Amino acid sequence: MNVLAHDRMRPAGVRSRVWRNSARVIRHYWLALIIFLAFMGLWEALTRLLNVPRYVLPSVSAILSAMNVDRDNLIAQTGVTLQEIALGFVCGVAAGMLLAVAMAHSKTLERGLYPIIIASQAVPVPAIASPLVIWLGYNILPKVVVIVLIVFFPIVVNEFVGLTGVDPELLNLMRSMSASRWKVFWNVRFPSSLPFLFAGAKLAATYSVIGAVFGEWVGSDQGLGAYLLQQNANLRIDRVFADIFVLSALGVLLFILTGVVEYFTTPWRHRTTK
Amino acid sequence: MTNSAAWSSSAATASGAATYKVYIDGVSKSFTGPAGGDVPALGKVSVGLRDGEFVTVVGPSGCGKSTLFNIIAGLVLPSTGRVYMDGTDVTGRTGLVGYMLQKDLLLPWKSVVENVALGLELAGVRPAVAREQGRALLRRYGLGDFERHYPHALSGGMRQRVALMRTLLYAKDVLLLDEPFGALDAQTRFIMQQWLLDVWQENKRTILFITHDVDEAIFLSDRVFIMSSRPGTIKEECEVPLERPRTLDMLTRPTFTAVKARLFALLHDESMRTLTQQDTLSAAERYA
Repeated sequence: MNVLAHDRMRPAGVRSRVWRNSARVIRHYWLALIIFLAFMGLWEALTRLLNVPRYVLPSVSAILSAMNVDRDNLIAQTGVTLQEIALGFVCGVAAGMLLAVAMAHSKTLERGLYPIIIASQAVPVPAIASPLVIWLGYNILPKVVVIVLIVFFPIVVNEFVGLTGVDPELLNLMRSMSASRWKVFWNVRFPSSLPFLFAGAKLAATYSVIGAVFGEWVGSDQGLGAYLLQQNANLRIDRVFADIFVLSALGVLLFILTGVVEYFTTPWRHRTTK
Repeated sequence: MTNSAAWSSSAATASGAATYKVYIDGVSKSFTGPAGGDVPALGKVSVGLRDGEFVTVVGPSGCGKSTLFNIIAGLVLPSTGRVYMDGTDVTGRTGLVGYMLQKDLLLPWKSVVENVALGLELAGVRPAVAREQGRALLRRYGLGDFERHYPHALSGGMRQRVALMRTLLYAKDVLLLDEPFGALDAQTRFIMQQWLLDVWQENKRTILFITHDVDEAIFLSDRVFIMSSRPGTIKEECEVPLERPRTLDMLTRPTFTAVKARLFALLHDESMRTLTQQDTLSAAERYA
């Protein structure tokens, strides 16, 4: 038992832990919940009161109903988009980390690559998506490349800062014990870069949703981005908004998931013992 | 009390290197300043440390004490002079001494026992073996209950003890301790000083200690060196005529006070000189 927890005896077991964590979420985020519900309530009220046409701005109830009616399809499309995001995110993180590690250990590489990396972000994503489809085909690849392009940048920048921002006295201590560059990396630089890495990963996770949508707009008939275009063309604005709701939820979920991974990989930031 | 001018480096080198555990021969250091000129950090220093001796260097801020340490540890190459250990020239070689600073520099993502074992693990010892030795050391000195804690859960004094154990476990004959208790409060500092002496009595390593505190210097050491202001040279050397083990009552003995009076006057002299100096080195320049 963690003796530094406060004294109230709590029942053990998974069910009560879930209940306690849910209660804590509500306690912490009650204001966000209220703002969200108030916003939804206002939306519903205004669309009804002002008799706004369905093809201009559907009411919240209409959107939820559209979500329910087409739910099997939406779930399938979410699966497609999630596949692209998962692949793109993993490759983007890998690429970002490799670049950051390389630049952190070689001044030449840093000076040679960093400006090019920054320049790569000036390329507007929707613009590059089309050529990518032409070059790579009408498959999952262009979407993954688009996501990688978006994802790798916050990873590289943050990881590089984390790897190079180590206390010089600590590095000196390592040198005094004749530590090799690899040992310094594995024992010091990499662990100390994790908080920065996860900050970048949270950004990347959220932006990867946008990346997937852009990729699908140009070269796909599957996925949430494609669904959005299709329903928009049919003037089914209620389904368009249903799609937007799902995309937003996806972004938030990925952000939270990254946070959870961070929680379990950096235990020293919230625990007292190993 | 002897004057360091009596040291004759050229004649003494061969014999000096052989008879001392650590022999620093005519070591000095200049850094290239921002304007391109030479910034002297350390003047010519020649010092011999006997095996198992406890020697303290006291000096004003910026006189080059830490630079001297870095040179002995092999982290910085001297502009002139050589460093000998057990008769061998070890100038510029790292990994031969235990090294400890004012900051505990414990790795926050490793537990206490993993931190203590760090030096051994870096030297290639198998982690399980290293950790067992670390565990033994922690239990020996009363921190056994904290072996699985993270450093942030410990107090400053405890963290410095862990850092000292890491330094000890690195198992080198020579330890360089650069103001290890400087960041602690006066009470904790005194407890740590007595603890260090207990540990040293058991292990009998050669210790080179840096401090600003004259009391601490006299209480801990066999010999005290006073360094001049930048560029630092050894201004005065002083034997501490107190028997071991050192006890609390010695702090108020006339012998203690006499030594303290002399050293304090010299140190104060040099500190005043430092206050009027214009340029100082940044940390980046020091670790160049």
